[in-house]
Amino acid sequence: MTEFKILRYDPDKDKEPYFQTFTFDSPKGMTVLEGLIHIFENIDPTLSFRSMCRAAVCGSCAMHINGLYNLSCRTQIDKYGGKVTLRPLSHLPIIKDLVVDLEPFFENYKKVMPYLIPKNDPPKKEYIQSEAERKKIDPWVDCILCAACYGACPVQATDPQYLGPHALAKALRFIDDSRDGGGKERLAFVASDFGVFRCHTIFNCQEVCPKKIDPTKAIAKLKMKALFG
Amino acid sequence: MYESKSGFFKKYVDEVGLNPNVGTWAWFLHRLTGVILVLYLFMHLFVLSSSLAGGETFNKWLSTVQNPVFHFLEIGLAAVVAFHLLNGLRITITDFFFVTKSHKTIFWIAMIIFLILLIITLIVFLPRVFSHH
Repeated sequence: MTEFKILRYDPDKDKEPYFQTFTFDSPKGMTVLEGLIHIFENIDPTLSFRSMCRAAVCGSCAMHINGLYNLSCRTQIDKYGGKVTLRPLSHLPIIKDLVVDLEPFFENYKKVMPYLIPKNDPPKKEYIQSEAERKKIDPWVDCILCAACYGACPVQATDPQYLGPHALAKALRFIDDSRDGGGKERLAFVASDFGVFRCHTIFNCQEVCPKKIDPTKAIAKLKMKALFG
Repeated sequence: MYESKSGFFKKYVDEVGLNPNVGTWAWFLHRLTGVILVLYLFMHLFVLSSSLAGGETFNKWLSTVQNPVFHFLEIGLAAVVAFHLLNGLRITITDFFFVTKSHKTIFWIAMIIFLILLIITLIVFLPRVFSHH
């Protein structure tokens, strides 16, 4: 028997979130997300959670699973010996059950201008990027914006204005891009009071990232760029 | 929508509970030792500044802190300084040399050095706790 302890909250009924336990049989290899779908289909249809691709690509099913923020679609129930505790992502308002409002997360993300800004004299045809130049941004392009790092970052708990690991890693991805011309403008913002120097180097973003990106390293690199150019 | 209304200290403790890993503990202890050091600094400056009121007052304050209880607290102070210093170096090293993936190894190396320093401190300071000056 598998035991799912889920933090529930219904804005129409509850004042505070509370834990509810569900028990059911889980076959070998069942993921946490499949467990949630099982509960939704067979036990309690009022349970709310986000999911989409079931293949760790879309980044919508991130939640707190037994002490680690992770994507529920890539976490197997067997790993935890049949006892799973689920909480929604921290540092974001809960809309219902495991669904959080990602607005603050994306507000911070937009601040670093996560798009290519053309250089002063753009080429007549296409931008040409060498293999080496592309390799430089390889570690940072895989982010799926699941907000696991945002939930895991203790700085975010006390300072919601802090840009967050997701935004800062993305900033480096564009600053290091050979086609981008907005480096200085972006760097000035990244080096502000709410940027890289607000980071306490706690390494939780690196610990939880389901795509094995290392935002702490991105932040360390941005600190150097902000200091020495 | 529900937003957590936890107070400042509760938030800190919650973060450790939700992220039980080396990085969070190192950060939490770094903060704690930092606060202790600031409080100690005020006490330290208070005792030293008594010298401004003349040698006699200074000697009186110094003799107040020369007792087993304060000698015992000195061991704690050495431990607090050692942890804050070593973890600070760990963060500096990971930041400056981009060795963020090795932060756990560096933490445990720092803790071994911490233990060695603590043992040396105990050898030096424990006799002072039990002897009278």
